[in-house]
Amino acid sequence: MKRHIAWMAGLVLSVALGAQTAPVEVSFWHAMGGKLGEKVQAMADQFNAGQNRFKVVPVYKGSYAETMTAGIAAFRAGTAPAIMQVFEVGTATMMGAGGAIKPVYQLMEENKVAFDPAAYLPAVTGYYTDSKGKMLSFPFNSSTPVLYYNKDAFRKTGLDPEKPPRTWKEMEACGRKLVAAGYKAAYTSTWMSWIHLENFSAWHDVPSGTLGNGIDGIRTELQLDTPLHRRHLAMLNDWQKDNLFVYGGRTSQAGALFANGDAAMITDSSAGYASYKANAKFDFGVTMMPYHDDVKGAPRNSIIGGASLWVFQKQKPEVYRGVAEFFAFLSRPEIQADWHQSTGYLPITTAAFDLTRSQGFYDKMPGTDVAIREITLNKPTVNSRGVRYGNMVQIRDIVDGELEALFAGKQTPEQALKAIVDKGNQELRKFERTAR
Amino acid sequence: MRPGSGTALEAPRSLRGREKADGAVLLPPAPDGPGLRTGPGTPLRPVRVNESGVPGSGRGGRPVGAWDTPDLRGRGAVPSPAVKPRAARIPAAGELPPAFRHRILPVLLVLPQTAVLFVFFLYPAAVALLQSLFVQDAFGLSQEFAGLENFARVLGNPDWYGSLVTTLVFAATVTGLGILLALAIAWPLVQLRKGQQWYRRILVLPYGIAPAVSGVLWLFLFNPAAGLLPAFLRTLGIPWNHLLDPDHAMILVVAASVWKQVPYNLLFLLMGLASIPPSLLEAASVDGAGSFLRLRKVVLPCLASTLSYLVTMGMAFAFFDSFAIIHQTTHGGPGTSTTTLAYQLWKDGFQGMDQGGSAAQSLLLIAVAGILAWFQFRKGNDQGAWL
Repeated sequence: MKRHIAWMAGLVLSVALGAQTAPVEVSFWHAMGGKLGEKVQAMADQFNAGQNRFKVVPVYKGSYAETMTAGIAAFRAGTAPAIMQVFEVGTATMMGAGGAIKPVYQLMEENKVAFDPAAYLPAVTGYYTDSKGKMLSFPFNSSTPVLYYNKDAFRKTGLDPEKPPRTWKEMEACGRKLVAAGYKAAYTSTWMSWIHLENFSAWHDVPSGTLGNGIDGIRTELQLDTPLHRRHLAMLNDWQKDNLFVYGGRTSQAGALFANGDAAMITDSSAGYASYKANAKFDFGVTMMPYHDDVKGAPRNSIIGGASLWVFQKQKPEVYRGVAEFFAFLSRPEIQADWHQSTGYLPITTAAFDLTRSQGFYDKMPGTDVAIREITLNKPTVNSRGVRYGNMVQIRDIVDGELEALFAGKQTPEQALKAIVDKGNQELRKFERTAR
Repeated sequence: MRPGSGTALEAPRSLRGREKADGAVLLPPAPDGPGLRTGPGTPLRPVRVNESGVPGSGRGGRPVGAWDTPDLRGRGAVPSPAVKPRAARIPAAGELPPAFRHRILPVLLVLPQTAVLFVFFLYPAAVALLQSLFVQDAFGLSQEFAGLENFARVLGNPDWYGSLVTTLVFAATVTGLGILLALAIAWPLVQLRKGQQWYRRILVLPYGIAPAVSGVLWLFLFNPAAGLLPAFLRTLGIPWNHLLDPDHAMILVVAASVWKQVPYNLLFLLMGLASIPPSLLEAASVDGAGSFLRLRKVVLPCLASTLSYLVTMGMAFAFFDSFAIIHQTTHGGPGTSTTTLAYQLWKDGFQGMDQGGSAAQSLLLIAVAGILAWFQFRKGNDQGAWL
């Protein structure tokens, strides 16, 4: 009997010891499918191979919305992952959930991992920083809208392929020539709300909402019903008649119109570069988003889209330690530079940008630096540091719906913007109520 | 006991009919006792009468129809003594048939279905009912009792009524077109002498395709830039753009859904058509009815129960299962022109994380579907043609 007890005690002890020496698992739920997912796995493998105390386990959970829903459901069930990737429109929801998330600055402090917020690009971190300048989530994949144009089409039309249009006026002149030369459409755009309202406002240094675009408080209200916004939408609407502009869908569907040569110019995420490189059978260029040159202070700087990494509450201290080290690893210039160069997402630190430049990447792949030039064009103002609206998914949906009604000729730009502001504000009030 | 009842004179018509045939006399039965029946040269036969005096129509009794059977076989004559033991086996009011005298067995038999019903229907419905009364943040960190506020918000939103109309239009079109097309295929198919099975196999294939995949396929076909159909329509001078034109978007969604629904309808209609006695059709032909008249006067009435069933299933599909197709093709747009109630509640619940509002919407959706189903069942019963 005694021998049995001793044997059992030995077994328990060895199991306990074994558990201690095995690496601590850090679960990481993300929404990066395909090639991007492979890249995330490769980064985790590299981190895991570099040390033996922690093991980061990335799990692909579907689209951004699906990942977020899964993460929130898991939190409610008490089985939340350590790290969750959340798209930028979910930011306000995450920030509103103070009891569910562990702010990144706090995580880094508690685990005494060297962390200098100043090393990160302000246009990127601005999105994920609270009003006191504390970083709440870790920027991971960020992109910004740029203008892609078909250089072959420019050549055939007698336009200079090295001199793309810079302003909306030049876009029109250039577009008329392209259409006259037989192109089905001059210009199209992906992500209408993100590009033509949110980024459009930042680019022209005007607010899209009160309280610093919602960053300073959840009582924010949309301010999109202005003469500038009306004029911009009216312009696009009028352009439709002459095929200077063609509406291509709510998300990235318009990309097909550009890639198959139907539309000669497109505004799309900088992260679309790789896809056009692979699919477009023509020479294309990348340049900055157009602006209205009679607006003072334009162009200011663009704002980002993409996603950041959030850390959940109620994890074990050793898991937090692992998360902090993993974030420090992701911030390393060579890791960031590699991520930036292989995916088209922005580098999140200045050091990674400098490294990429010194490696000659931008010279080899012209146009890949446009995104970073846009977000760093000027020091961000209150209007151009980012946006943070609650129920942003619904608000974007409202915007898409109203814009479609506008482009279908069912309402005027005034009516569309008024509806966007009215319905959008209702969503903001609904969010305010639950976020209290 | 109602006055006047208790006399076998008020027995069902079938009994009375026989009375005349053989001139039998019905003796007034003793109250609550078995009625006795005599006739010239026929033995006495006990007839069990329940409380109301009508044989077998009371609680726990056997349906009247069961009494009709010996009647028909008896050809006007009272059953022979050989049938007697059988008649005696008919259980009295409140008495269980032998198979169910066991107390636990029926419970055990019903248990699995009850469990499924509870886990997959009653429990979620109860949770939805509870959630619809609260306003809650996405993480469930705080919640506040809101009474009927969620319902008020949904019903106060003009977009909801738009979705309701969209849903009804969508459901009616998908169901109607789905059945008409299936009928148009099934009618010639049953008249085919050779290769019927092969046609059937091929035609049923789309049913095996997931709605999401069906959505993607139709999206390719209708792609304004690269699709086959828009290219064809352009040659006819019809510009196609379902991204901006609400009617085009609706046509796209309906086409993808109908394509999914036709094979299912087809299977049932083929079965229904096969079960129509050929003699009926032949008789109609002999009477000089043409193909259309035969379809109209013989086939359709015979198919009534199948059609009624298919309408219900089509409506259920359009109400609850259309999500995948809409999500793959239009995302409810342009505007909200293809946002059905189910799609709207998914958007609010799973994209907007508005649990309370979404729960309220799902209850309203169940109510709308329930009302429609009720109408249908009633109509189906009126025709005496419910499955």
